[in-house]
Amino acid sequence: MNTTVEAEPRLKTYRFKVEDYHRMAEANVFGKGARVELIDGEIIEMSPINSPHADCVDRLNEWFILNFHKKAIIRAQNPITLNEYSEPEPDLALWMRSLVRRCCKGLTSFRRSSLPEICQAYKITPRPGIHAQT
Amino acid sequence: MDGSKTIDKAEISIQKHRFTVEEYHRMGEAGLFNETRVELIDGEIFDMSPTNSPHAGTVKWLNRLLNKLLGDEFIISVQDPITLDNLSEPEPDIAVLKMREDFYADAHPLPEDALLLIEVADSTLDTDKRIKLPNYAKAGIREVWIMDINQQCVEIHTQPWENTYRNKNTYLLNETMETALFGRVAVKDLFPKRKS
Repeated sequence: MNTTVEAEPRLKTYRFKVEDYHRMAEANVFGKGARVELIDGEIIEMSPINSPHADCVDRLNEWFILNFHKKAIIRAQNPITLNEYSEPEPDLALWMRSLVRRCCKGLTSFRRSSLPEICQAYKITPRPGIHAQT
Repeated sequence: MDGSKTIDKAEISIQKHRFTVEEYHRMGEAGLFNETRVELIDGEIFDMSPTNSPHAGTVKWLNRLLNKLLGDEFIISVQDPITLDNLSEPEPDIAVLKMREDFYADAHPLPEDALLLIEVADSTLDTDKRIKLPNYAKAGIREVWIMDINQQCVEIHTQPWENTYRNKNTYLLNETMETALFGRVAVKDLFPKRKS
């Protein structure tokens, strides 16, 4: 028997860009009702939402809308473009009205510099490294 | 740190989406993959590695040879798609296909249309064997040759059974092999004559 060192596989999976992902949605690739998100170039299927999960999101959503609607847009389970290869759908996102960049398609992303400002507004310290990813 | 707190680890399962052939075609029509060559294998989309000259030359040589030997009775397909099942549509280097009037313009060939697939392997040897071969076997492709450019030998895989081939024969450069399609052939005749 030959003893060969396992080579690093040369065949790489295709890495999807946000741009590809949007084109796929427009072309209705996944069909209606499919729940997917783009994370680091891969299309990930979202697990079905059970009732405790849904209930929790609803309560958070309600609480944030009641308390923060003047300062922030509260978005439940909507996409956020993190970078060229990621567009997840967090359960809840607060978009500071003063920091949001809008375009013809609606909300797209925060301004690049917005994370420190958001942290300042909430009096929190960002985790080291997180700034670089936004 | 307070060690008494235990976090209840919820079961995390990340499920990558597996693409069907239908979805894959719709993506192509929507203009994805315009700049890259890809193939769909078992629901995953793979980038195809760039082709170097020994690989390209061997494919051209085989194309000519097989067309001379079999061209009247069969269609020799070069790096074109073949639909294995609902989740796989690879593009083997060579496929010997049953003759069909439309030359498969109406639909890509299916496993039963292929008499032989050939993969020319250099740096792709490992993935050809680990990823492609099991899927060819699963789809019931009756015969696959893996031509190893570096070792200058040919592996013939026959008798598909589940995810594997029951029969594998390796022929070295100075040997002659027996083939079902065109009888005896010297292995050295399957590779182009190179100066270097």
